Amino acid sequence: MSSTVINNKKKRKFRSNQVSRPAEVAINVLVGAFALLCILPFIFIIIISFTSADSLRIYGYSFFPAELSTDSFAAAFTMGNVLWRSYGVSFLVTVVGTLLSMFVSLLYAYGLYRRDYPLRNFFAIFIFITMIFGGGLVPTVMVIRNLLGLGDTLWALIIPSLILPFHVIILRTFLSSAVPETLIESARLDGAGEFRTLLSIVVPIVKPGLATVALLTAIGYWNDWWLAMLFIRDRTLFPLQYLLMEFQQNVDFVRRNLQMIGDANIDFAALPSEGLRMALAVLIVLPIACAYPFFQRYIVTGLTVGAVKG
Amino acid sequence: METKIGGKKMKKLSMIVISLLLVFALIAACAPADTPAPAPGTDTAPPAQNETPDDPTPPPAVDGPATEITIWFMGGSATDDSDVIAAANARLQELGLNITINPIWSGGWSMQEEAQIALDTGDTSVDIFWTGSWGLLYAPNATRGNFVRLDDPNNDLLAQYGQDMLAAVPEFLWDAFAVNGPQGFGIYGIPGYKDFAQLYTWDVNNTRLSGLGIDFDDLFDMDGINYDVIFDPLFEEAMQRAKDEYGPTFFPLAMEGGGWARMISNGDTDLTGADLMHFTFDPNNPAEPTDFLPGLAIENELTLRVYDRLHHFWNQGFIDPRAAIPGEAASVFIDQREAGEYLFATTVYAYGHTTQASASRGIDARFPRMSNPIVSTVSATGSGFAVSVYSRNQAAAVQFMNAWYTDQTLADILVEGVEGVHHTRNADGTLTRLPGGRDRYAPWRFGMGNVFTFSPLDTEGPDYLEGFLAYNAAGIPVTFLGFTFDPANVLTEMSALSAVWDEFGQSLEVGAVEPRAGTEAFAAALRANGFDRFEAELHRQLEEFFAAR
Repeated sequence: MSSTVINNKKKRKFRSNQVSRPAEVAINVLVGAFALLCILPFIFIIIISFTSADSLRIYGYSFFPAELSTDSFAAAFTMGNVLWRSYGVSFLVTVVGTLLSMFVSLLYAYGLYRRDYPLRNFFAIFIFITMIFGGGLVPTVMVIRNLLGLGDTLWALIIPSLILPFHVIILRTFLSSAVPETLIESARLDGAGEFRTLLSIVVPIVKPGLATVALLTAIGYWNDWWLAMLFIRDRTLFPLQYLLMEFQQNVDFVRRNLQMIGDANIDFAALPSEGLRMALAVLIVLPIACAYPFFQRYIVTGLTVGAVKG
Repeated sequence: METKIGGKKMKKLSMIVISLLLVFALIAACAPADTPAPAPGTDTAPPAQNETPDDPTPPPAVDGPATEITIWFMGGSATDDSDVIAAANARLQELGLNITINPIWSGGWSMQEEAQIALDTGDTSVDIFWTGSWGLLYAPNATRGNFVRLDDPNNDLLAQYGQDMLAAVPEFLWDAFAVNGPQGFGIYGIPGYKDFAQLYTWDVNNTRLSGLGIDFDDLFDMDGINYDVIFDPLFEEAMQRAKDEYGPTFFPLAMEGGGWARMISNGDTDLTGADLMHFTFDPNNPAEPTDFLPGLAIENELTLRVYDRLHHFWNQGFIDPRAAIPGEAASVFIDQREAGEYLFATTVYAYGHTTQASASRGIDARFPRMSNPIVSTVSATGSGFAVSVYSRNQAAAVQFMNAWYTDQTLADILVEGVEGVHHTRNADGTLTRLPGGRDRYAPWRFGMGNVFTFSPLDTEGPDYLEGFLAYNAAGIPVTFLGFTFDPANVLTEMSALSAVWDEFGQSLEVGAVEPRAGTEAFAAALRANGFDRFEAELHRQLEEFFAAR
C-alpha cells in the first residue's frame, strides 16, 4: 500500500507539465521582479510628485526625498476648470468611445464569424489590409478635418479609433471559440431574429471577450493625446492626456531652444514645475488603474478561452 | 460545386476591388499637395500653391457678414479670451474693417507640431500663422510654398492693403524676411518688430556677490565689453567664497551647454543650428568677422581657452554635475537661476529683462554684456507672421495685420486685454495691470506684432519705447545678415553630427572632461561622420551669398 502511494507521488512529481518546487520559487521570484520593475516607475512618479521643489532642484530625483511636500497637488487643484474640464473630456470620450467602439466592433466581428454571410471573406481581407497599410498622417488629417469637418469636436477624438482591426480579430476569434454555430441555428429555429440572436444569445456568452476588448479600447481612448494634437485647438476640448503632453513638451521645447528664445521671452513662473507634471501623471493614471479590478474577472477568462481544447 | 465556383469568383472580385482601391489610394497620395479639399459648405476653392491666382481673395465687403480671420499665436496662455476678442472685433469695426478674429493660442511645441501639420495638410481654416527662426520655421515654410508672397508683382498684397505696416517696420527687417520661394524672391512674412538684435550677457546675482564682499564694479563694466571676465582671478575668488559660504550643494556657476563657450569666445553665430560652427568676430564690432568662412568651433583658440577654464572650475566643484547630463542640464540651468541659487550665469538678453528677472527672482540681477549686440538673420526673423497659402481670406488677413501693426488701441487690447478689466490707463499713457487680469489672458508680449505700437506698462515707464528704440539702434548687423543656411544637401550629415554632439558636446561644454583630449576625440568623431562635407556646403552657400551681394 505505502509503496503504491510513493510510486504515485513519484509519478505526479515527474509529470511533464509540472514544475519542481525550486523552479516554482525561481519563476515566482522572476515574475515578481518583473512586476516590481513595471510598478517601480509609477511609484517613482508618486514619490517625485510628493517631493518639494527645493529638494528636486538641489538633489534631483530620489526614492528618498530630502523634503516631502504636497505643493504639486495643491498646484494641480488650483488649475481649477482647466483640469476638471479635461477630466470631463477624457471621461466622456472614453465612455462614449468605448461603448460605440464595442458596438461596431462586435457587429463587424459577428459578421466575420457567421459562415453564412456571403461577404465574410471580403470584409475579413478588407480589415486585414488596414492592419498592414495605414492611410498616413496627411490623408487622415485631410479626411477628418477638411472632408468630414470634425476639427474641434469630440467626434474627432472618438471616430478615428472606433474600429481597430486587432480588436475585431480578437472578438471574431472569441466568437469562433465560444459560440457554437448550432446555438445560432437553434435560436433561429426558435424564431429569434438576427439582433435578438446577437444580443440575447451571443453577447452573454462572449462577455469575457467583450470585457477584454472593452478594457483595451478604454485604455486606448484614455491614453490618447495624438488625435487631440491633430484635431483639437479649442482648449476647452483638450483631454487630460493632451494637457499633460502639452505641458511636458512645451517645457522641453523651452529647454531645447533657450538660447534662441532668450530668457526675457519666457515666463518661467508660468511653466509647470516638475512636481506638477508628475502630480498630473498620477492623477491621470489613477482612474484607469481603478478600472482594472472591475475587468479583471473577465480578462483572465477572456485571455485563456480557446487555450485548452476540451 | 456551384457555391465553390461562386466563392472563387467572389474572392477574385474582392481582390480586384481591393487592388483598385489600393492603386487609387496610392495615386491620390502621390498627387501634389496644391489642391486642398474645400471645407464643407464652401464653394470657393483655395488659391493653389505655386500659382498666382488671377483673382486673389478679395477684401471683405463693408456690408454683410464679417470675414473671420483665424490667427495662430505663439506662446502665452489664454484660458478665457472672450471679452478681449469681442473688444478687438469692435475696434476693427470702428476702423472700418468688416473683419473679426479668432485666435489659437499655443506653446512652442504645439506650434512646432500642430501648426506645421496644419500647414502640411493644407488646412484652410487658419489664415495667419506666427512664424520665426526657432518655431514653425519661417524660411523652410516660405521656400516650401506654405506662405503667400506678400509683395508678388502680380498681386502685391502689401502695396494694396499693408502700406501703413510697411512703413511702420524698418526696411531691413522686411529684407531679412525676403527668401527665394515658389513665387520668386520676395517677402513671404511680416516681421515682428521688437528687439531684433542678439545680445549675449553675463547674468550676475549681485545680491549674493555683494553679500560676499565683492563689488560688482570690480569685476564688470556695465558700459563695456565683459567676455573675458571668466579669466579674471577675482571671478574665481568670488565663486570660491560662495562655495565656502553656501555649502557643497551651492554651485555658483550656472552652466548650459550648446552656447556658453560660444557666447564668451565671440564665436557666434551658429548659422546652421548644429551648434558646431563658429564665426568669430570682434566683440566691439560684430560686423567685423575675423574669418569670413566659419570653422569648427572646438578648434577656435579662444573657445579652447574657455573650455580649459571651465574644466578648472568643474574640478573646483563650482558647476553642478547634472549640467553634464544632456536631458537634465537645461532644467538645472533654469531652476538654479529662477531660484536665485547662482552667482554667475550667461543669457541671451532682451530689452527690459533686468527689471523682469530681478522681480521674478527676488534678487538684484545684473546683465553686463559680453559683446555688442548682433543683428543676424536668425535674430531679425526671430518672430513674425505669415499668411497661409491655403487661406481663403488673404486680403482680409493683410488688412487685419496692417490695422494691428499700426493702431495703438487694437494693439493694446490684444496684448493687455480690456481697459477696466485687465488694465487701467494712467495719465502718462502707461498701463497698470489689474490683479488677476493676466491669469486668464496672458499673451507673449514680444510675439504680438509691433511692440512699438503698445502703450508701455507703468513698470516700464513712459520713456520705455524711446529707450527701446535706442537699444535697437545699438544693434550691429553682421556681415551675413540675410543669409539663411539651406540644409537640404547635408541632412544626413547633420543628423549624424547631431548624434556626435550629444555624445561629446555637452560634457565638454560644461567642463566635465579634459578639454584637449576631449576636443580631439570630438573632432575625430565629427570628421568621421561627415563634418567636412557639411562645412564645405556651408562655405559654398556663404560664398554664393557674398558673391550675389
